[in-house]
Amino acid sequence: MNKENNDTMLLEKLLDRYRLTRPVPPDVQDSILSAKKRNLVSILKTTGAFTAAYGGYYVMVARPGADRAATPAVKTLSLDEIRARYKWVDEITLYNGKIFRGAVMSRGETYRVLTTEGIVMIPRSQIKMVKPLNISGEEHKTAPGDSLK
Amino acid sequence: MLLSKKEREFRKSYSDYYPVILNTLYGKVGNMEDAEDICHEIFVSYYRKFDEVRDARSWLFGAMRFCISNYYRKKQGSDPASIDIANMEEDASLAFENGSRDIRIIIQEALENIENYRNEKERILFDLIAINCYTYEQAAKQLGLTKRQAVYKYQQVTRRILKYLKDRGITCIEDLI
Repeated sequence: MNKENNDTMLLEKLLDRYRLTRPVPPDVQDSILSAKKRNLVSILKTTGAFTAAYGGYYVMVARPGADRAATPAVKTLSLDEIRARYKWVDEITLYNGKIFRGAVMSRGETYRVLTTEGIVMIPRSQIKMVKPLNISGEEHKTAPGDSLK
Repeated sequence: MLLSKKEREFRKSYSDYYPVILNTLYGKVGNMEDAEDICHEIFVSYYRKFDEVRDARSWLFGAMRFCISNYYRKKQGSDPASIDIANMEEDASLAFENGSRDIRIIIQEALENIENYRNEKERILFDLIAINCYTYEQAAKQLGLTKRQAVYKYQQVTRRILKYLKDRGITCIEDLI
């Protein structure tokens, strides 16, 4: 039940009282959600509508469990490849303790950083400091002005 | 363009109605495997007749009743004419007497009144949350909305339904609970 609002709570109680609800257990709700795309493919295959083009679309966009936000926007590179391409690699430390290593591609209100896992957008307000990394992967001493605060 | 217009529209329709149909089937059949099989059968027929269908909801729910009666006929070996799914739904109302039964009918009318919903998505959202007891998050996920959108739409529908009940003479809901 959703108890965020008095009206909604009242109506839900009323529906419950007059047996107009058909509750679906949470585990069934999850399985319905997870089976949705799988069953769509199965339906399209049965009807013959699952073409190679749709298969490609399905793999790229509609694949179950595909987390598009987590998919890197560009081909991933190793730290050495990033260094070879951009001539430098930085270590960006956030206030929440998270550390990113990669090349800062652009600065401003949001930093675009090419890391080994793809391009990461970091709000400037979350960045504690930026340190350059040397070739062996060890960081230099923090240069004055590298730290944002 | 990768997908034809028909396929895009079918996908949208499937995305909206799939959870509602499967929830209702699960409630009638009582096990997920059979419910998924029937749901598959319904949507395959729906795809084949997609161009002829004018009202998706009516068509899908009509097909669902037909498939459920076939399911019970196969399972029990009985005559499909003897199984009336509409009456099976109404069995719950027999538990109420006189005035209470009338109120139940009014509430059902309020839920079915199309004017209480701005669009079909709102109706499905309401079904998922109020009837099938989904959380806002789950219902929003099913319909591709944000939680905030789901909460807002649900509250709007709730207000309209309560207003409808008030207009029909049910002024004090608390007394009925």
